[in-house]
Amino acid sequence: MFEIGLTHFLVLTSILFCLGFLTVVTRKNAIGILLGVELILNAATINFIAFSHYVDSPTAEGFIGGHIFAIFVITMAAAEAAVSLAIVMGVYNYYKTIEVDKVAVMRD
Amino acid sequence: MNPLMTQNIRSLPYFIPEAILLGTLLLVLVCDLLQVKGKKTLATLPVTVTGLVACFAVSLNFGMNGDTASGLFHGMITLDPFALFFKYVFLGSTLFVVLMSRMGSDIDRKAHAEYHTILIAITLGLMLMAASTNLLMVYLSLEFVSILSYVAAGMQPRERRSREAALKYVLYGGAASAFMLYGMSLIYGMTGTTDIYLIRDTFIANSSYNFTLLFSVALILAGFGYKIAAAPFHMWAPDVYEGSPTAVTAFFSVAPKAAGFAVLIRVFGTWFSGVGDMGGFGESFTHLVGVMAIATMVVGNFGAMLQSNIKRFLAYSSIAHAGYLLMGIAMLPNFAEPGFRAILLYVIFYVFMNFGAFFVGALVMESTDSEDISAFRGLGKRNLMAAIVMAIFMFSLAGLPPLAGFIGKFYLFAAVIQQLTFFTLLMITVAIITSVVAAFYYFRIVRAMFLDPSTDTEPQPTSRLAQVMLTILVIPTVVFGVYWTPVIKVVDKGLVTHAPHVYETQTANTDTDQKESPVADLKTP
Repeated sequence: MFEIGLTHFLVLTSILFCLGFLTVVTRKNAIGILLGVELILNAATINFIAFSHYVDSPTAEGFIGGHIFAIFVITMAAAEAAVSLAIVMGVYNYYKTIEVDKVAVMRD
Repeated sequence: MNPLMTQNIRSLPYFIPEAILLGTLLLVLVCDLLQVKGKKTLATLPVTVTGLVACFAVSLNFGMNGDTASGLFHGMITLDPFALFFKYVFLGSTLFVVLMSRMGSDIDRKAHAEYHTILIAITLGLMLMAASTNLLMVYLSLEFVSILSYVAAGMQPRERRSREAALKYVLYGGAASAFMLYGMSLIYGMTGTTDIYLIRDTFIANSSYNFTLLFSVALILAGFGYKIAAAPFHMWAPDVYEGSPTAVTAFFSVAPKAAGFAVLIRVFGTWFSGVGDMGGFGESFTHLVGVMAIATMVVGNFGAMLQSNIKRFLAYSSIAHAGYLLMGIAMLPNFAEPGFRAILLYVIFYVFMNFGAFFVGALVMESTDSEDISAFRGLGKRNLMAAIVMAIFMFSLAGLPPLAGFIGKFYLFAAVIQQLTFFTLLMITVAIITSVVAAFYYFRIVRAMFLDPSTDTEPQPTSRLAQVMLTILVIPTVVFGVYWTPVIKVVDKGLVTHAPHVYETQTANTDTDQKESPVADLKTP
């Protein structure tokens, strides 16, 4: 029988993290980079949930800690998305593009 | 009553400073609403200043009485002398920036209420950052500060550089905090808890070299390093500093940076100092942070040499200073205390000299309408007082002897030199070489002010308020350079952190009788 264990979750989140990292590093589109950030956040959230299920905690609060952390991360990601999209809109109004290498008035 | 509720309610008296800020924030918003309707305007500035001063006074009262507590709100935050020390720094910085932006014209007068709201909220977040004792709280407060900082960077809607600054800030910041969160999730997986003191206990219990731990620490370091603008996470800093309104830039270069170091000391100081070598982990940690420190010093100092924009120049200079401070963090596994003392001392001196440099820079930019370093030309003729004061700040930032900056650097280097290994010698060598480079580029400003020829010699007097503020900044820079004993006393007081002691009684929060001991530990029965 095929049993789902912690390892499967960890493999999944590692893949998600790597994909997110690659997206952040390679994308030129601001929205694309934000999507990559979101992938990494989701990897971390799944980690928290998986660990709170499989890992023994030294405290009673530790077990629920992962769940609470996950909920806060989701909330924070929403808030960050709202602000960052507003900023991207503001940039688009001036520059008529959201390609990050074209939004570059300031240089060394 | 529900025991969980009881503990939260008992934590509230220790939350008064933050509550005052929260109240001020709402009051400023309401004042702004009243302004729109009535013709007579109700100024938000007095409300903001009063709120900040009241918060400062209450915090100071906590500090004077030694009235501290740990394990507040179920171990989320603590009120110890260490947190109080940084609260003073943040409140002082915000107060200064509020007054400074009153003089500049780059923020729209109509937007001042929103601007004050954002500044107060950032201060609230910074205070929580310095006080947090749980990874959840560290993450939340750090993001709180970051998200508001993105908005503050874009507070100059007519300036296209301001929008670009906000975009760069949000992209780098979002990525850095996501990396940090992934590292935190791995730490949670290894220890089963998010309380930083419980995590320390787990590290002591199974003390062996652990590559996953190093990986997660490196990821967390990305998040913290981004807040202090340490290389290689510094790329946002020059652009954000250039694009943001000048007062906001001054704020970014001091307050969030200090908060970043507060979190670094709180988290890594708790985890890795005094827990033994953990099978070689301590050395790896020193190397990891040390390489970051070296990279930051090199990037900051050599970057500053090449700049012609005043704000960019000061941005690289502040990156360089973060590099010096990181050396203190790198020494943490074996020689934590001298490093921490040096960092706290340097933070105090840095507040005065860096704000001073930004303040004169802002005055010059305002009067010449140019952000180029050549705007300093002939300042010695136009405004002798401002020029002399600026020279003092520059010499202090460069670390020349009779000034505060020298004492800060001296303590820092002394803390690093305590352990003589190849690596610490390498760090010190780089620090000294880059300090010499630093002296060179700070002198460039002084030369421009006094020696370079200039056509514009028309006197430009500073306003009375500006003179008072400059005096407040320059006197400590000079006096602390020769007499710094009182500062050391304050710093030694501020080094004390309180950990909640007893963990077996996690469920024993049920006790309701008030403790009268000076250090009320809400977690102990």
